[in-house]
Amino acid sequence: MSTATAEQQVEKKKGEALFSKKNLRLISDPLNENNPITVQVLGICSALAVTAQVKPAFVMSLAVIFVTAASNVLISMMRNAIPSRIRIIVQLTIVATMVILVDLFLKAYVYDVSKQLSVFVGLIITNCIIMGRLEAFAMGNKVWPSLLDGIGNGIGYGAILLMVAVMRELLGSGSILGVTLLPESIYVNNNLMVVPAGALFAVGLIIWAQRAHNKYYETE
Amino acid sequence: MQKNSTGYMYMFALVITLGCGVLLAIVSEFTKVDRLTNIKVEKMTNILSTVNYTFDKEATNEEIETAYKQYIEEKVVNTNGEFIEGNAFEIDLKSERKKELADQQLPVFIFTQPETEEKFYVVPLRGNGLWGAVWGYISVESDFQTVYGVKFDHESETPGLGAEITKEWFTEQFKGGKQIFDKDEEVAITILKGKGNELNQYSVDGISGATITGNGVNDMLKNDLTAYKAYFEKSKNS
Amino acid sequence: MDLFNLFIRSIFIDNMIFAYFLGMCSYLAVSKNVKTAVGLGAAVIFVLVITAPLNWVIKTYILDADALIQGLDLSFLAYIMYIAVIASAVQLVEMIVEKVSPALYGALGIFLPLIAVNCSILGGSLFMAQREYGIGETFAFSLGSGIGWFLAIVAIAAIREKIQYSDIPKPLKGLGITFIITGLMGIAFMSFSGIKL
Repeated sequence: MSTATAEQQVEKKKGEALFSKKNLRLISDPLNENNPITVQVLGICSALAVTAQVKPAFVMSLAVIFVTAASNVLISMMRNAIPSRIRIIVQLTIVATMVILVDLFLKAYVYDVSKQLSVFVGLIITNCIIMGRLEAFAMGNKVWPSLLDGIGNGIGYGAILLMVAVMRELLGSGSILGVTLLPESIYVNNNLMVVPAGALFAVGLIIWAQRAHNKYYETE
Repeated sequence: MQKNSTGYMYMFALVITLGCGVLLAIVSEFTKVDRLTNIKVEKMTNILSTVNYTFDKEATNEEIETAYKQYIEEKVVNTNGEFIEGNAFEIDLKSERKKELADQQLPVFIFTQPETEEKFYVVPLRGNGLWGAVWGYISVESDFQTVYGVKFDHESETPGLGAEITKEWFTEQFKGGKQIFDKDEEVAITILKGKGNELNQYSVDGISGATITGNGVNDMLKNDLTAYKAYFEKSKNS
Repeated sequence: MDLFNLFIRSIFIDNMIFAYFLGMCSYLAVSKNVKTAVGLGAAVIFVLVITAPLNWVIKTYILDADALIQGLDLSFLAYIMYIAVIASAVQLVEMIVEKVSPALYGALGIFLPLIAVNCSILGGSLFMAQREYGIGETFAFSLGSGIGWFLAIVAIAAIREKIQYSDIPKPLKGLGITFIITGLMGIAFMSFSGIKL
């Protein structure tokens, strides 16, 4: 045996430490450089719809973190067994199942929030982030990194959601999490932030700020 | 079996389908009681809030159910004002309204005030707003004429406009002696157009910019309360 | 008249993009030129009008409580059934487009199969279920929603073509300005609320 192969075998056996730098980057990248919403341009739909107030945005983020991580793990576990012809359908089935689990859970234990989220819980299934990560990562990586990638992207998504929700609830209703911070006497609520258009402006501004900071410019 | 063979593919699909199906069925059953309870308790809370019996945020489902069972008596009437058989709580107004008026079951929820033992009567409402259904409850005092409280909800009215019907500023207006029927025994309670109107015992201010929702609620009040007229008459005179 | 009202309302007021943000991903990605936007928009209309009524049939006769057999409530399988129908419909559309217009097929690329995960399609079925529409309402609603989405993506594509040479600050170019323009269009569409025919 040549030394090259012997070295390769040693490398393989070492494996990756659980919280190695490479693995930790799976969580930190999606927060800024590879943010699923502002950079990968995924998961916009529900991000805008549920952010009129902070509470539903928060619950939605938790739901997406769970579904992304769980689907990533399950698909990663099965990745070598899935027949390529039915790949997409299998992915969709797994994601749909996870989403139904979340929906049942919400309806049973946090009913008032589930009413606010209504159809948008189901729409997690079509949340491009989840399918995107399954295809781009889970199908080709081991279970632990897939878990971290799922959690990381979920957190990156949640971060943007919370930023938009804080902007919209604070400027639109003068409160955060239902607690009035800007009473009517000193600030008249800007209804523009409550309507859908306000969410679009908020995300546009966040993208502007983030790109100016990262010096990432789109080339046409 | 080869991973790419058709047989393997079908077997894999079957295993996944069964696995997911079983998992979901289990969780669905496990959460069923809680899910149905939430819907039930929400309805109870709404009925009780129409008679100004409210709970603080920490109230548990059990407390709400206990209060409901203790203070509310359910009855079903028809358009002739006669009591008929039926489960008032389970009546689905949406399907009920598709029937002929004479065949409809009209639920009545009778509330007994804890301290004073006074009786108040809650009836459910359902109508059409600008963009979708609106519904709610209205409660009357035992003269079957004076409004005690109202509660409204909607499907898809515009936030800040039609959706204001759920807000306290709007529903509070109905308290303090508003009258339902006028001298000719017609439903006269009415939501006027916009704010700042001169009000009498039959009218309340509307929502600026939400005239059509207001009209929808007016129609709802008129139609639904007219259906209960016979029952109110009979009860007044008994 | 009610159906017509629902139809008009689904296009302009309950617009899938401007009121509910559904279908944003492909809306943002495929709106760089008008021709592809028109192609994708047409495909979305087609898929919506097929899948929403189909899912209505499945919901009414299979999933609803007591629909198939007394005492059997399969509504927790709704999401899976709807998405299966949608995935199949998209597969069908893909085959048709490839046959009828290979050029369009090539131009749309990956975004054609991505219609399957286009939130507006699933959203159409979910709204149908949540609002308990009848079959007629489902048709009016899905056709209107599809046309609304079509209008939105063609409009933004036209605007983006025009602003290519505008002097936009660099960090705002592309995605950022598209969001803001969409917001402005959303406000414009809000002016339609209150129309009743």
